[in-house]
Amino acid sequence: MNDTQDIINEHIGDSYNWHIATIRGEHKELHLPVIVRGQDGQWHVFSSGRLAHGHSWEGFAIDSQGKVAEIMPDGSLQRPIDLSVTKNVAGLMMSGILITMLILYCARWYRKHPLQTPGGLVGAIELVTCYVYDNVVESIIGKDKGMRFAPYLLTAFYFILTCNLVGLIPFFPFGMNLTGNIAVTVTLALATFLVVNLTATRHYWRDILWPDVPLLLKCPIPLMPVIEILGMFTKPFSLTIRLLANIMAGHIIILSIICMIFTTVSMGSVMHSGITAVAVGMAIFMNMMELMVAFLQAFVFVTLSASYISAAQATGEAEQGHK
Amino acid sequence: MSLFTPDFGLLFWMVLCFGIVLAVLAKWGFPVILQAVNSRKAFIEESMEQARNARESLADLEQQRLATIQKAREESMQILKEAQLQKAQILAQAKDEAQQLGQRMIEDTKAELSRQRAQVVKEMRQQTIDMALKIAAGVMKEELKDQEAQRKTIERALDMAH
Repeated sequence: MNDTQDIINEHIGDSYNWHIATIRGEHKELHLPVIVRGQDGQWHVFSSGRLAHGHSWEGFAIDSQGKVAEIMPDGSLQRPIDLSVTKNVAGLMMSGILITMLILYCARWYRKHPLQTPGGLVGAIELVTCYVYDNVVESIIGKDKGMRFAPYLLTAFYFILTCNLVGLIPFFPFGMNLTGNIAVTVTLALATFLVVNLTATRHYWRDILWPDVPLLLKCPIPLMPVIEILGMFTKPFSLTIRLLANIMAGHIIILSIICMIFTTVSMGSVMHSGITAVAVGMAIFMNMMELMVAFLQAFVFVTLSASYISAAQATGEAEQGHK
Repeated sequence: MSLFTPDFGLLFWMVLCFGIVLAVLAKWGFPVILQAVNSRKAFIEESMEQARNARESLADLEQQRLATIQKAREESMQILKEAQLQKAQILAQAKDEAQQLGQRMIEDTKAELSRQRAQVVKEMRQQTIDMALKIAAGVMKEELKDQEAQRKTIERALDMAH
């Protein structure tokens, strides 16, 4: 049972090697560069292959947590500043390049074919882009201000979608758990936080710091402002956790279902084949589900981001219109 | 690798990757696509509007054409009617004039006739007077020889004069 946990943790976690396959007990993997800054202030760059099987290199070794650590003179291990290109970093770069090339290719197509309707790949991208633009940007933020925020929201959408889909493809060079990693989701949520608060109107800040409530709720003890300021931070926090939990849960469920096949080997052939059939069916179902979730979570992320942006664009007139 | 504490290295690379992707796509990617789509949408709407206008003006033109034909037909009818009227008028006038002319000719003739008659009467009267004078003279000459014969002479003279 510990094996299962290890397998799942290894799959949803990060790693210095890019595991391709294990053939006859031999791990086929890509060794990615380790980039660390030691205590002496020197940067060390070397292949992660140097650290395999408990070896140490240039005073660095893998610690019990599976991270690169520096071996101190007294023999203890200490975490250095670690900017290694791990499997997830490689996956992020790949997704970033993929999405950039795809969108730039589309943009070039439009530049070369003014006033024409694309088909094929460009048409598909246009369909998705216009879907997101019409249903999220324009309907939530509005037409005039929408154009200002559309590039951020669309980039976030495509980035999340690509990372989600990359995570669903199980074989090399895909299969890393990108949007199920908190560093990724926290960066995305932080980006939304920055966009929301850096473009916010004076009215939005007034609503936070001096909201339109009875005086006692804000004067001696600034209860409402504290709640509002807390709200500023819970929004990106919820964005972070929602995306992370959804994607990670999907990965864990699929992996667990697949692992069921291997944990029931010892239960006899009838039981094993029965479980296998059920597990394969369920895994297919879950993969379908995750395909939908991959799109849905990207969509939900930009929808919520757009509504936060829209709230921060509030002007006094709009507020009075609501009342 | 802990699940809920962000790894610094990954965070760093993620910020870098996402930042670069965002910068590139926000500058050269999405604005181009959205603008292209928007301008195409505008173009399609404009073309549709133009087509609608063209169709409407075509229908207008057709209407105008039919109206022109109708008007021309009416005008020709009118002209024909007027011509008919004029013809009748001219005929009537001609008849009238002919009648008047005839009338005048008749009157002229009548006047001439009466004038001539008056002349004749006048001449006759003259002649009669002359004759009467001659007869009177003759009678005078006879000098009342025979009253009966004188009477007969006058009778004869009157007969001759008549």
